[in-house]
Amino acid sequence: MGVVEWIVLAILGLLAASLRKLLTDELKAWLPSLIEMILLFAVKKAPVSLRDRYAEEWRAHLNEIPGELTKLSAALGFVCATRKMNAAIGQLDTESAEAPGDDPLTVTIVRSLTLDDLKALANSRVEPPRCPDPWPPLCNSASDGKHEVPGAALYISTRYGVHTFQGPCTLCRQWVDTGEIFD
Amino acid sequence: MSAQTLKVLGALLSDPSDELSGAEVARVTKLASGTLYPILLRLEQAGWLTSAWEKGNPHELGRPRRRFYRVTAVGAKRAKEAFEELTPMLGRPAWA
Repeated sequence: MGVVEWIVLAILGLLAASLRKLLTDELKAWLPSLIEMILLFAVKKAPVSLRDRYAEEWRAHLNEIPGELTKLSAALGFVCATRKMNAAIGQLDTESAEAPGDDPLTVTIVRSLTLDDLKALANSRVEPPRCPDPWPPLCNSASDGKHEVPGAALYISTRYGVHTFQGPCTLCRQWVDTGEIFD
Repeated sequence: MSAQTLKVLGALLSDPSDELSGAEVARVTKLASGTLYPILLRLEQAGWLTSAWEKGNPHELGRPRRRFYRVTAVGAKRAKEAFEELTPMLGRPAWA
């Protein structure tokens, strides 16, 4: 190998070393923001009624952990946890609830209604939307309403499911989280 | 009841202060956060655990408040029963 090749190799080595340091520094600088973004994503996916709680609890959890990579791992764990927590609490998968479109899940955000309207809506059976037939075998659809009034909030959510290929949509679950309104 | 659930209950029951934050439970049990928090939530929903915020204001503390978990009387009773059921099985051959 000639002198020129050695010089080129040396220059490339120096460049790689400095680039590695640059990348490491860059990653270190961005990690806290990345962790915060993942935490916010996890909180957004958490059951609606528990979001505020876990936003603070999980921040405190991360605060107790030394090392940015361990924090990153824990934050990613929170995202995994939300899926199981949603199943445990029996609420709507928030991801699906917030993604209307081609998905069989239909979400209606109810706005500008009075409290009485919302009370009536909470007690009424909402007509299920059209379900694809015969596939998928289990169709979920939802009606989701949220109305905020000063000091309190009413949350209504109704889920429908098809138990058979040809059968009608049937009401599976309905719940109302009234916050302080009906206390 | 899963082994992880028993680990969580064991950690909370064996702690002298009787209450632990989620991060402390994770440290003791070596469970990942993705496994731990669903267990804590399920146990809390079942009434085996209760949780409360750390005393103080986040602004005064200069950090987010921790949430402490404590085993309820029902939880302690059920956990002891589960541990007692498991203890005779430990050390016994699987086919016995």
